[in-house]
Amino acid sequence: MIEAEGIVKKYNGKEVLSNVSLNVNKGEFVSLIGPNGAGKTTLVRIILTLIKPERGLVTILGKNPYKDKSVFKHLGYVQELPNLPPFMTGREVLFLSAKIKGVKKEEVDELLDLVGMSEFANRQVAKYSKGMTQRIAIAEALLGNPEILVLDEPNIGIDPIFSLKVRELFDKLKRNGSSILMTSHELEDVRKLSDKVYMIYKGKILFEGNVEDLVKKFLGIQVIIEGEELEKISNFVSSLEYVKKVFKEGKKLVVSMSEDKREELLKALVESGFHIRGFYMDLNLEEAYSRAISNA
Amino acid sequence: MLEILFYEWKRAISRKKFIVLLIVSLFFEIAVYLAVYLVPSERVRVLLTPLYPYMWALGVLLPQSLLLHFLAISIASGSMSEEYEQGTIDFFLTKAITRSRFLAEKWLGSFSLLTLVYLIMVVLSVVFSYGFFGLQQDINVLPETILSVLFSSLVFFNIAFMIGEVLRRSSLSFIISSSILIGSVLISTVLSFISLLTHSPQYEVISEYLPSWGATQLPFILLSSSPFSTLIQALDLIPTTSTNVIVAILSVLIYALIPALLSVISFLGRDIPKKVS
Repeated sequence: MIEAEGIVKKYNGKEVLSNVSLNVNKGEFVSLIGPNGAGKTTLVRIILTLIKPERGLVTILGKNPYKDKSVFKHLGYVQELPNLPPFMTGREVLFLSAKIKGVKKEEVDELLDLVGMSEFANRQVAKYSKGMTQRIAIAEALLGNPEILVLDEPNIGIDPIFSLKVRELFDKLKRNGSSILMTSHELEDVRKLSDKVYMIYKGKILFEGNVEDLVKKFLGIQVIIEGEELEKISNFVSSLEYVKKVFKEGKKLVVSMSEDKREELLKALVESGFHIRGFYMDLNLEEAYSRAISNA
Repeated sequence: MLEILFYEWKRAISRKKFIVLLIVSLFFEIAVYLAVYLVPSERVRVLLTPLYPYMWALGVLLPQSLLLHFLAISIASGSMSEEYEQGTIDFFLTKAITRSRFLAEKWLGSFSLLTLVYLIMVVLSVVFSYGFFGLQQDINVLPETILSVLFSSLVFFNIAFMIGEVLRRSSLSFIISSSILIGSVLISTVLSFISLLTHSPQYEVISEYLPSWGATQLPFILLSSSPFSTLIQALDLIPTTSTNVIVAILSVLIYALIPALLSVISFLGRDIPKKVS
């Protein structure tokens, strides 16, 4: 659905994106993560044809968006800190967008309701809070039920309850077949929603893969065990040769392994008669992210 | 189609600077007619009486000397630059809208707004001239005069539009465009004055190369041989001796087309930055 191949971008002779490639397939939720200034927004703006790359090729739905802008009929975009026409009301912004996209006006009211802005729809955008503007921007991006969504830090400024609602909404869209590219610093969202993650740092892709692989690569294999007799389990697990480290964290046991031997570990625990309530991989994305950046 | 054009009208009207200029322009129209109608001196009144049938030209041509160009600059300087300053340009360019369509509709939207404001001034002129001074004559040249005024206004309109696009700052664009207008008018006046004093036409010729020359002179040159040429001469605040219509049209064309071309090159070729202010 979105393909960026070998993108190179320079500002004042300095390379800010070095041979970056990215791919979003149909129905896939792809997250682009990295610290501020890593090149996330630049890459998104190149995909959206707002910035021209020095080298590389972008295709959306198989077409070059620089040559054929009709592909944008199938794309919704939520800008980082959205800048909507400040002199218009929220409803007018959506009506304008509906006209440009050729979408029926009835959809506007449905979306205003979805983002909880019906009550404030006739207020000028200039008088909105950050979160309210963000809600209108999300509704605007969803107009016409686009096949592709590009979200540049969509959760900035919105309250935790709506943030949760937004996450559910994106998840639903993904399940309905929409392809989503999101840049975000909200690693919890990235962990819960992403099929694929691109980690970008200083204009280069540090990692491409799913969240589990990212954690494995930068944090190693860590398994959480929940059960009774954690002391005994700890002693047993420590004796296994592939276990590097074991420590207690509240009512959980965190087991760090040198290689992925999760199946063997679980089997050994069960066969030894331990009562295990929970056994899952520790997807501590924050820690993995932090380690990846500090090691880069 | 034309969604951006109507958006542009709405955007311009929402600006206080534009509203103030519009009110000043309309007030100016009313004030000019009232001033002539209520002139206290009997001697002046006797002088003006033969010109009463042509008073429509007063309100139609007087803004052309300076006011209309300021209005043009006010509208055009913010047309592109404010989109960058407010970051709203992303809203449009991330939809199925090509850059050339966006630029064309922005330009058309701004210029049609200027046209609309000028037409309101023309209507007021015609209404007041009939109301205060009775039956008007030679009004058949009105469409031609309106067209020449609007054509002339393209010079500073396009200069402001181009500076707004290139610099992407509305205040800077307004200040620079206004400075070019005022500077050019002042230099032109000085050159005309030197030409008059020294009887050397070359100073007059030099002034014809300035952007304000064609922009302020064309409608006056077109009407210089009309039955009401006395009134035309009186209305021409920056009088010149040249009456060459072709040169004036060429001047307007060159000074309007070059900035238009630069705007197109800049907008189609440059990156769209994130909100700049």
